[in-house]
Amino acid sequence: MTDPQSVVIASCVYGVLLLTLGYFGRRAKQRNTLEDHFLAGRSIGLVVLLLTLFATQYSGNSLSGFPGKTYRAGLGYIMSVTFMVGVVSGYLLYAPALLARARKRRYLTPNDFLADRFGSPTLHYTAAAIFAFTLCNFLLAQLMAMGHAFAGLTDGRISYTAGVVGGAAVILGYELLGGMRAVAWTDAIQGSILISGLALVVVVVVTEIGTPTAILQTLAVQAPAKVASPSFQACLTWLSTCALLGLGGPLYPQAIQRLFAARRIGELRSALAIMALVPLFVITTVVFIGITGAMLFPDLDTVGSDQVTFRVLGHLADLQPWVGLPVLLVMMGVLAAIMSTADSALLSLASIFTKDVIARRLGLRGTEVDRLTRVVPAISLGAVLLLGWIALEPRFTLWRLLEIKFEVLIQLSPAFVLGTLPPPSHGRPYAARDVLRGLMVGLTLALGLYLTGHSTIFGLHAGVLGVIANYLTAMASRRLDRRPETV
Amino acid sequence: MADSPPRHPRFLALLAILLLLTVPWPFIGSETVFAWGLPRWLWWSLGWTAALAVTTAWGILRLWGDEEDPS
Repeated sequence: MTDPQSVVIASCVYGVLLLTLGYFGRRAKQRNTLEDHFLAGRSIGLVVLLLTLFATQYSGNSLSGFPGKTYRAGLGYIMSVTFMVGVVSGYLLYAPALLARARKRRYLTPNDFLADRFGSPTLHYTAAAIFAFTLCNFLLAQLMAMGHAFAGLTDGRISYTAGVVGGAAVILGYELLGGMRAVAWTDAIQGSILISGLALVVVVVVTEIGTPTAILQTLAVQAPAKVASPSFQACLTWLSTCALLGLGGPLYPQAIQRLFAARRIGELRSALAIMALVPLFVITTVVFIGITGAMLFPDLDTVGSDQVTFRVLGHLADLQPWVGLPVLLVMMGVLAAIMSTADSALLSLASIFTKDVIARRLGLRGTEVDRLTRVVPAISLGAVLLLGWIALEPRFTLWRLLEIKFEVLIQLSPAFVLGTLPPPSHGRPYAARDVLRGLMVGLTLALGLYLTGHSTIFGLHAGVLGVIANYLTAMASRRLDRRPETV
Repeated sequence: MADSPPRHPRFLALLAILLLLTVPWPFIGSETVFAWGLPRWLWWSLGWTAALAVTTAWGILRLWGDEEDPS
């Protein structure tokens, strides 16, 4: 395995690099406005946009969690390639119309669209609560993952607590210095490390262990169930997972804000078109690592299988000393992926509290909201302190609630999809009351099923069943309630 | 309103069909048969996933209008 000392040194160098980028992000700041801080003044060009979208969509879980799931579920987890493509396909349902409107009306947060389109305070605050819940979930999970990653990769030389505190301090530092500009630049570095590390690992696995076909044929003899075609129920879950992520993934506020931050629509389209193809290479590689682990280490338990990426890397480093560099790159790539997800979630969370809650409560409009740039550091610090404290003393009852982020977030899908539809030729457009009725039915069904232990029914996720009911209710409401739209 | 895929319902239907096809339905319960080094159901799934990815990329580039001012 790679010397833990070198991981400690690489982590420290990396932390300093990120803070330096934060400093340059501050120097590049053009105006002291919320738009400049949260959206980099809508100035992000193609390359940085592509890499920041990549780093946001691919979290530490994609690199270390997906191979573990592949190890346990077998080759059937190749569905992860489909659902990661599905996330990009999902943008097509509403993003073009949303973006056109966002650029005209200078939206800062996704909720600005809901407020502008529907004009309902109830919908506004409900959506803000759902976004904040999802982002807190993300941030907390990444802070904990950061602690575990530092402790695991450095063989305990950096403790879990030091990993959480140090990592959070670095993220907070560069984010407060340079806002979205610094976050996007660091995401670009993080995305590059991730891609190069994975590419090197593929080369090393193929040269040192075997080609994917050789590995799969060995595994077919060793553990036939791991390469068998999925059962009917697994196929339903496959479809349901694609729906859950395809509708929920494009609603991540941090992802939507990256769309808002694009310099030009043309560059954004090019970046998203490339992102549609990326899973074919990146996630296939990640599944390949999981399959390689299943062949090399057939008897791992759940905890062991979650570390299968590092076990495969350690095995490679034992085979060939020159493999140390790619292994170190992937390890740093995992840390980078965790940090990039955390920084995006923190920035987005701060924007939602600042714009959607405080500015709204104070009734600030137009350029008046820029007075709130002074409170952004306090909000970011408060969020990190609160979630960092929970990360240091995890409460398992809370974890149960946090597992359901997608089931909850996906319920906002009708508000965006139906809200961006062209005006109908007959009848009225969708109104806030239609969307709210759907949202309440969807949330009640999804949470009710989940919290009563029915997270899936016949392989379909509670959130997917909830969102189907949500869409049907909103559509029925529009058709049956013929009163004109009030806003 | 800007040009967008929701204005092209046939395209959205195509995406939904491709998504359905990515699931290896025809291979449920069948024995694992290898072709060109990989299980046949994997070729099926990866092939349709690639088609979904390419169609999505095409839709983004061709059906997403340039208008900055929708209404």
